[in-house]
Amino acid sequence: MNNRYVHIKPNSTFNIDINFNVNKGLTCIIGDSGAGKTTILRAISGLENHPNSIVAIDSNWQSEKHFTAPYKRKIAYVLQENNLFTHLNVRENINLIKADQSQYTSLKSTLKIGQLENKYPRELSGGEKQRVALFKAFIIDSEIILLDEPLSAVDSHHKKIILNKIQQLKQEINKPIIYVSHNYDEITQIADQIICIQNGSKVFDLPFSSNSLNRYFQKNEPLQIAALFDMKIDTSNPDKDILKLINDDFSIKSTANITDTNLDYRIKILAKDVSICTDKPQNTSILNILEAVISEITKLDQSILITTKIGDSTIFSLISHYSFIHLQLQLEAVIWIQVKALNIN
Amino acid sequence: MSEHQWTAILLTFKLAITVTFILLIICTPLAYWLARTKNKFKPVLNAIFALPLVLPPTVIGFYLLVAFGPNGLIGQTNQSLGLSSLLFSFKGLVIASCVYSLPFVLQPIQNSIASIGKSTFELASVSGLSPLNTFFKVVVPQAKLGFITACVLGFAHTVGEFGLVLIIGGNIPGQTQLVSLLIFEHIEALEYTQAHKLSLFMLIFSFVILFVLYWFNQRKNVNWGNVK
Repeated sequence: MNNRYVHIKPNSTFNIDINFNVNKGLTCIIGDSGAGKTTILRAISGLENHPNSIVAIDSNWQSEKHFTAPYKRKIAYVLQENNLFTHLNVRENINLIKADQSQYTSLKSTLKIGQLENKYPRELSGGEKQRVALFKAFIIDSEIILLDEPLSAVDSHHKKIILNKIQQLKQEINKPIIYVSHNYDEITQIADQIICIQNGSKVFDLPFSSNSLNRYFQKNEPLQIAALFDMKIDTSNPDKDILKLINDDFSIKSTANITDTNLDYRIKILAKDVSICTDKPQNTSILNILEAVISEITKLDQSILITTKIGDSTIFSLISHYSFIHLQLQLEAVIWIQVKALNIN
Repeated sequence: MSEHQWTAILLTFKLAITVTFILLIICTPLAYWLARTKNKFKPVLNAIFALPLVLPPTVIGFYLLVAFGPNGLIGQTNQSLGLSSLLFSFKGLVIASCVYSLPFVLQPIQNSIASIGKSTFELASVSGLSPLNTFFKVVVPQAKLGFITACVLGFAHTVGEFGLVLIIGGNIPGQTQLVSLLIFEHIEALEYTQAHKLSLFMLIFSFVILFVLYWFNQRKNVNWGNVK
């Protein structure tokens, strides 16, 4: 695979200077409104010309010397709005693009496109329009998929289904995906790389890692702080009633009903769902009790954030000031963590 | 109606169809460019192309008469190419009518293309549609109403000319005598019955053509809305 690289430079209207690789599956771009997230996508697609920028995906679309017109760039792009031609119904809109058939049928049923095919865009809700737009984006013959807040109007039921599908698709299709979003849940479920921007410059750029991502969010929403892991199903587990997921450092159990055992699953453990014991708990209903070491203690306004390590994996626990003093927790102490709930995608 | 009158009617329609056809060819690219360009001369050009809307037809007629004449620029060029004079000929009528009816064809197309909006053009280019494909698969269908209005107005307006065609065409039966001119001739000769027959014909024709336009316009809006 060649080096897929993007470097967007300022133009006369927007002062931006961002560069990153897009080799890894799904790159999330986060940042406040007006930070330049959409500008990056528009520059990659060629809708905006940022002179001297470099856009090299599989083909070289832009460099100091040349600029490929947007319609000649093989892109799939879900714009923030107006992704459908109003004079065509859904089927005609889909037929207008050059489709790659490999994912066609399964996507069509996941996104429930069949029931919308004869409708005109004005007859669709915002969420339905976004489903059709996503369908188009994933079937169009492209080198890169650009998604600009593609689920902003989708209801939570469909959102969950679609995010699972994107998580699965990014493993199956060999294309980079760039996903712009404000939504923490969306990002944590699917990102492989996160780029945070402010005023047109990069604040941080990191491979998917719960640690750094959480630093960005913890000051705003401590209840959202979570540890995230990509885990595999342990197929050697003989117990049929319980699912065992493993990574290099530890294993956890879940009663979730999962059929496809070949995929990687992203496990999310919210800090507020993790409690701490100084002795190993006995006779408890909690499935997952893990031995860990305290690596960091952070005082927040309402509570204490305990960062613990199991090997290289990090799990957070959010506890009260009272418990913190009562348990006399210290750095490097070996403790037991109880995971009350976890989320599997 | 007399044969004389039918000749005038057919000549009028022949002129109107020719003019509409030529104007569609000229105005479509012009309207597309004017609707999309950010050129600083756009207001000047818009004003020039709208002049026939406000000028008395006699003003246009006068200047074209001078230009077509043996000392005029167009007349001299024409002469040096060995072509027959444009004055008092059908060719001259076609050119004069094209000038006179231009805004009636240009503006509906230009307005309907302008109302398509930037985001639709952006969607077309990120969907991989070339400019030509964008024009035929997106612009034409979305601006369909503008094109239909342009045809109807261009045609009807050409049929309705009087002053300009009198100056440029004279009033030569079978060559440049249009319906409006023949009606005037009947009135001058106090042939009121003849004048009435032709006038009523024109009245009904004009009503039908406008009715069809407005009916279509309304139906179209109900269908998928004139896209904004």
